[in-house]
Amino acid sequence: MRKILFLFLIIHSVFSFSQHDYSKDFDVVNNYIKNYLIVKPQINEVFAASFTKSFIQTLDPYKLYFNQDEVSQIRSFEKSVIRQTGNLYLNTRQLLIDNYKKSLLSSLTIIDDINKATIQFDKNDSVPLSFSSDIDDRYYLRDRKERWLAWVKLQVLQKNFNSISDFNRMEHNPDSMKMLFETQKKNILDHESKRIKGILTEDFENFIFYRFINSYITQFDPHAFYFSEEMFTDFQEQLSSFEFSYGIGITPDKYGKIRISSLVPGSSAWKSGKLNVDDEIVAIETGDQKIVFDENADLSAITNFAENSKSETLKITVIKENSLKETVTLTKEKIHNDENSVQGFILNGESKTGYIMLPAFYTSWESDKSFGCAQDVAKTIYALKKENIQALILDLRNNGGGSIIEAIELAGIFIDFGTLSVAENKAGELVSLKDMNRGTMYSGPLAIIVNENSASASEMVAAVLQDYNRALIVGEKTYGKASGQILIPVADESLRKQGSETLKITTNRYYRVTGNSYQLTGVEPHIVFPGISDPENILESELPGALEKKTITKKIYYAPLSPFPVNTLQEKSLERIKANNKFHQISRVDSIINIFSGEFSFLPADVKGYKSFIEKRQLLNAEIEKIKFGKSDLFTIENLPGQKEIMKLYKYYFDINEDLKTKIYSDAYIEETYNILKDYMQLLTKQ
Amino acid sequence: MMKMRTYVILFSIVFFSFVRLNAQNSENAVSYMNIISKEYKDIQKKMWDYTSTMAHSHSAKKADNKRISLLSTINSSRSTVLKMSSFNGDNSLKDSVVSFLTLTFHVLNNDFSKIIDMEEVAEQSYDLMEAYMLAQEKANDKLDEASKRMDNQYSEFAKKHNITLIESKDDISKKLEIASAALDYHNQIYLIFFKAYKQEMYLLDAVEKNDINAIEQNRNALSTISAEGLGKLTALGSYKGDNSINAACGRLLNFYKDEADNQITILSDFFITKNEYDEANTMFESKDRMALTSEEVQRYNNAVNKYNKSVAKFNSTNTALNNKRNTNLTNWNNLVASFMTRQVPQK
Repeated sequence: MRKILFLFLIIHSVFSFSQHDYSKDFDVVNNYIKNYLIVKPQINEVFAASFTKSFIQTLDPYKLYFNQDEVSQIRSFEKSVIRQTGNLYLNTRQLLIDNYKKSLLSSLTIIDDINKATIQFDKNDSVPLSFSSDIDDRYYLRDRKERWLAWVKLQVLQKNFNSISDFNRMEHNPDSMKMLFETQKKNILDHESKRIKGILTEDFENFIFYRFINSYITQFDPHAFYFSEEMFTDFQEQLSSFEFSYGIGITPDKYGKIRISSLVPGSSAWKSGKLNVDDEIVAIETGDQKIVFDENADLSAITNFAENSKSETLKITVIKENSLKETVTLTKEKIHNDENSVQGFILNGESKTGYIMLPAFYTSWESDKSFGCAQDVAKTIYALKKENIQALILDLRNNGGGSIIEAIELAGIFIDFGTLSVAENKAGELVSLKDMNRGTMYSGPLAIIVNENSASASEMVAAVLQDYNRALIVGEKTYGKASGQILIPVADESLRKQGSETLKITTNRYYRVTGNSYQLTGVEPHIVFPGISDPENILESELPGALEKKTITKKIYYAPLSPFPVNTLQEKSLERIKANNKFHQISRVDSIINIFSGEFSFLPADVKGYKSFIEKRQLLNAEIEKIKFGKSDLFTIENLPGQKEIMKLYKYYFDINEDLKTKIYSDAYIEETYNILKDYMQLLTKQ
Repeated sequence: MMKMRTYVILFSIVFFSFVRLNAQNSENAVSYMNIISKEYKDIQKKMWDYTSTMAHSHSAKKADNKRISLLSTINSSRSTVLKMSSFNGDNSLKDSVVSFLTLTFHVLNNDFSKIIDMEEVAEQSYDLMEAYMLAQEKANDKLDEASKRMDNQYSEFAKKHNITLIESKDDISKKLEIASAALDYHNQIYLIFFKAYKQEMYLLDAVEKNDINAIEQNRNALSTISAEGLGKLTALGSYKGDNSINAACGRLLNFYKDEADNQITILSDFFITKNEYDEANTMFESKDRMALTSEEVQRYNNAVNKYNKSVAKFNSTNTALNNKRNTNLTNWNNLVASFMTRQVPQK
């Protein structure tokens, strides 16, 4: 049986006892950036401001440690950033160390003070929900102790109140509530205090440096990352075997919340269909133990817990993007069936349509299989063809990309032959990417569903199938990332001898066969569906330092099929969408979310305010719930024969399958795509 | 993999070898033309040598020696023509001959990059072999063009200087002409064969790797290519009533088409069944024997039975395919050889 689970990609507790000269690392990484990064690094005022802002953010994610004065001191080195004289890290190092140390020590004193006093939960107070740029600096104007107070109050409120009924219950007994709050406050602050002391006693400079260098290089390249040797060893070990039995990779976000960073194909986490990348993990529980992931969560304790637990199941509770809580039980059993990582169904109604959901472009290296996802999709299509499907839907929503080779092989399934994409390297050389297999595996009507979270490899597939007029692209405009990264082992004599650091860096751009690009602008679907906008969602175009959009002139040979009757299909779809209750609700929720997120740019940190926040959130969630349960009567969902047999035998898979079916039944996008394909087939018959 | 074997034919070297004077004062022009004619003759002789060896000899080395000898003749002829002075300041005939000979040299030397944009060829091609075939096709087009230009210049020159050209065919010319027609026909059929043959190689490679994605795509491609080929064969018809290689190629393509449409799916099914078996086996092995339910045992047994049956079917299908393929390929090779014997004159 394979060993356990979590990936920690981000720095925590990196021990090192040698006095290391980090300014040399800074030089070496800078050289690598110059030599490998696809664009010439530009340093100007915007860069400097964005860098210091990001750096302060990583040192103080909740804006608790620093005061205005210390922030100004750090900001003052923006000038040295622009001047580019000497080694930036060397020049600013002492200032950073002193300032950060001072801020942490002040915070410890404040924690002590707050711990001694009783906090007032009825006094009107709030904390910024997300630290958008305009709130940033102003918030530091607030007294440091007050910021701490507001923050700890919010933590306590979040811990206790998830619904209005929680308030009703608690408010019945104000005295015990007060006592409970005080105890929780103390626990939270004790934990914070421990965390700060940890930062101060561990290799303090190492902690600062990796935040410094990564804030710096991500301004050149938002997809860059510099791994210390320890971080990278963890990263590799966990990729190869560690992550397998539950199949979740986790990583703390910049606010210290634990989020799912990857789902291993074929694992029980993946098959559950209930977990997504970016879900916030709030608790994990085995038979006898439970860890709640609030800000108090100690990462090393979590790893120990997961590694040492003898339990075969793990109950994991997450908060989804829509703020709903979901608890999923994962089984540590041997991963059962690799093919199940790609989900295939038959939507059987007026027409028999295949449906394939692909959540990531995994490759054999990532998933320990002999073939990657293109092969799994091919096998699913093989089975679907045996069932005589008339059309096929490939769902690439929330597919954040992965292997470009797999993307090319996947597109090749539907395209006879020709160039599928063009790669450009630093030298400006253009290389045509082609599928190595001539012929098509499936040549019937095809639609691809995408959304804002369909990125990179997903976009490459959608773009090329659009350019060849091979697939109807439906859904939302995609994320807009047309670049590729590599991992380079950073080696230098002057660096530590025993180890090697690793740099992830953007070295390629990708273009469509038309010579255009989807960088920043994404792939525009043939038919756009109304969606729920996520104010937290950051697109490629919103990242500082994102590559600009470019086009190329190169003789590219490709033979597009005749164009789709897009206008007719669009009109028909629009009519249906107008009349469709699910889409009405989607638009309604979208507008509610917009109002909601506008209203709560600050989270209330007092009981009364928090209650009204929870009330509104509950209303919003109720709206979202409604969408979930409208079941489509257009088709029945059938499993492929191979799956049916397994389902009969194992309740675990049966349950997952039923959940997935419910999800598909209620999915307005799938329903509408099914209808569009039906329209298209009718138009074909008329011709 | 079989090496591609088409024949390079230099049509335009053949004809205008004899000239007659119509008017006086043209003697200089005639001798000017005769220098070129003589070079033609030399090349023609070597060309015939090479062509007949290629068509009749089984020794690749022997044919290649002839080719090298032909190349050296072309090269020296080219130098000779290059050294010729202009005719009354007119270089057009000389230039067209030089450019034709240069192209001929590169084509015979397979040095396509000197003639065409190989990057563009690579861009349009699916693999190296296709790029080679496309390059050859493009190079031949250029060669055709150059030869037409040269013929025109030759006639122009004659007309200008009042010379009547008489088409005279000596023995070698005649033989080359016959050979050219037969080899051209062969080449057309051969390319139809080779495209399908190569596609089958890719398919078999995919089968070897158990790669369902590649099997299915290459199977589809083989079916399309074979069908297209069969259409082309019908359009081509026989050569002077000799339908032997057309029919042999047709039989092979029908085999490929049947293989792609009907037989390979049996192999694909086997790989799917094997997956199911592997998966049932893993499940079975990973569980404590005592904890296995009767349904699980039943499922495992079913998977084993299904697997065993499909192994037998896989093997018999594979053997049958191998036998048919060998028979058809041998038949094709034999008939090509006898076609050459019949249709290409001996030395």
